[in-house]
Amino acid sequence: MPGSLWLAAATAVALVGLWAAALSRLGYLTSSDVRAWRRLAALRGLARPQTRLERAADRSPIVRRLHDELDLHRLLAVADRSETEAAFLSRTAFIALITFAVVLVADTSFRLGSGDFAAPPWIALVLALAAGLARFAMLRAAARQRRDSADRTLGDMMMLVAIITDGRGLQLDDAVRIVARCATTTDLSTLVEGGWRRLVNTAPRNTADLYRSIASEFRIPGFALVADALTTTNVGVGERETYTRVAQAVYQHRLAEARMRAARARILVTLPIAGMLIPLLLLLGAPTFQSITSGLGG
Amino acid sequence: MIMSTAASTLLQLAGFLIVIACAAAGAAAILDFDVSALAGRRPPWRLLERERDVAANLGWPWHRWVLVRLSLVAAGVGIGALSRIWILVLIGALLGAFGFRFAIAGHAASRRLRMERAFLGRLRDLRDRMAVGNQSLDTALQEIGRDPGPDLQYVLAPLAGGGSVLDNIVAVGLRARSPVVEYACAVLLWTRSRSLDALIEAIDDLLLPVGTAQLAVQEESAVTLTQQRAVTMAMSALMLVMFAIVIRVDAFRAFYQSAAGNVVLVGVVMLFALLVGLLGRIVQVRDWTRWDLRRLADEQERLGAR
Repeated sequence: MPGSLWLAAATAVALVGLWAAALSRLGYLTSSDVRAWRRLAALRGLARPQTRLERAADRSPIVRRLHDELDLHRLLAVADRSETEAAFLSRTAFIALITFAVVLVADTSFRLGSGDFAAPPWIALVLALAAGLARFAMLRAAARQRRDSADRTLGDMMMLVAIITDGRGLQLDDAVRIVARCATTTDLSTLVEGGWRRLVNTAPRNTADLYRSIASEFRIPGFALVADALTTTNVGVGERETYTRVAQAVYQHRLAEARMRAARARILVTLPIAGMLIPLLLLLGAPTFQSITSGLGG
Repeated sequence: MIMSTAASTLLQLAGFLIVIACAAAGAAAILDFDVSALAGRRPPWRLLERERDVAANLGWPWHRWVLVRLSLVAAGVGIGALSRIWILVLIGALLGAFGFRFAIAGHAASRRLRMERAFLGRLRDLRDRMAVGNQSLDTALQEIGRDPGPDLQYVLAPLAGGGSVLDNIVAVGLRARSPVVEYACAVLLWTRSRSLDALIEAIDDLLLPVGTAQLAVQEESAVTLTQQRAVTMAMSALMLVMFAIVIRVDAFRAFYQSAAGNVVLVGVVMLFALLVGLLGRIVQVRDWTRWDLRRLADEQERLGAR
């Protein structure tokens, strides 16, 4: 028993150490000033050259994807969370700690009452880890949700933007800001009202430049489409025609996607329907199984 | 002796809890943890708005919807209590709260589809009145409001009355609680003070073709959803009947009254709910953006459109 306890403790320490090393390697424990300086130094050619391994990692799509998925700074900005990376990590650590403590208390209380653990104590560690991972997953889901919502709102407002820019002589960015405020969700309005500054660090030269930067940093393709349309209006094509065409393109794309989803849904729905047999079998099978086992037990 | 053992156990437990609480508080202080940040950012009224949408799509007043839901929760609790299997009280309450909503959601969706289809027909009518009949937008809207048809009687009623056309358009959007109608109302709000040609062009180029195609997609999904909903209902009924038969046998009834039986019941309900949720997610159609029409009208007024 003490041997297994030491093993569990050593594993826990090793895991925490690995986690801290990974965070440190990815730069999450480095202050933003230092990171900015390193970036600047790299741009000026003052940074140390990359090793072969680093260059290979940079070229690897899997590593790049992993880096993107775990890029806390970007995820927090896209999800419009005001907390810093350090604050997010500390909160995650706190929640994991609370989960660990609560499960351990419950388990120990059970042992005090009945003389044995309800579940092995390492379950507390697993659940704490799961709580931390769940927080990351929720952050990613929030980022994806805001991205989708902002993209959808931008696409839906194009007809209104066409009317406003054509009839009232408003600039595109003003029109987008005004209409974004009128959507029931604030995902787009917070972004265009200055939220873009969290990821776009350089001052944009013009609206098209800003929208392209938002599209690239926040991964919202709608902004790139609108930026291209804006460039078209700069060479004399009418705003109403241009933005109406953008609206048509958005809806055609959306409808094609919806049709594809509907076609896929017709096949996919058979899975949960078939799965519904499982609860039915459980409902009937559990008492039968219990009767049989108690009968065999005498 | 037994009392002293229990007291000692309780004391140990209390001591343990105090240590854990102090450790958690210490960790919170060190990490500068803000408990309020744990609260969800999603506005709590969004769920309420969805409920209001379903009630409006059914054509029910909000108070009737609330009353029916509460009555069904009470009925579910009552039936659960009658069975003397206490976990069924909770399951009955959940069934009363969500089962009815699930059962009626298909009807609400098809009613909304019918209303939206009728609305697109009226929009075509509006376009023809302006393009062919040379009517002004305000006159055309008023005439359409006087003869809205059975599916749009409640939604278009504000147009028939006098008063500000702007307010009437906003009222139509608010009554419909439909993204398609809201979008059309938003376009009407911004184009009504401009040339009729622009409005006719917007209706021809965008509102009608896109609205029709969106409805087609929704109808396609609705067909799939209705079939699967029927299967789900049949499966639920089968499970209820089987369960009612099973608990008539004493041994099985005793099992479901035990802790293990309760765990099985909770597991069955959770698994079933998960599968139903998954089904809804697979067939879900993405709605358009919802607009705050009152705010749109205010912005339009602010820009001096009136």
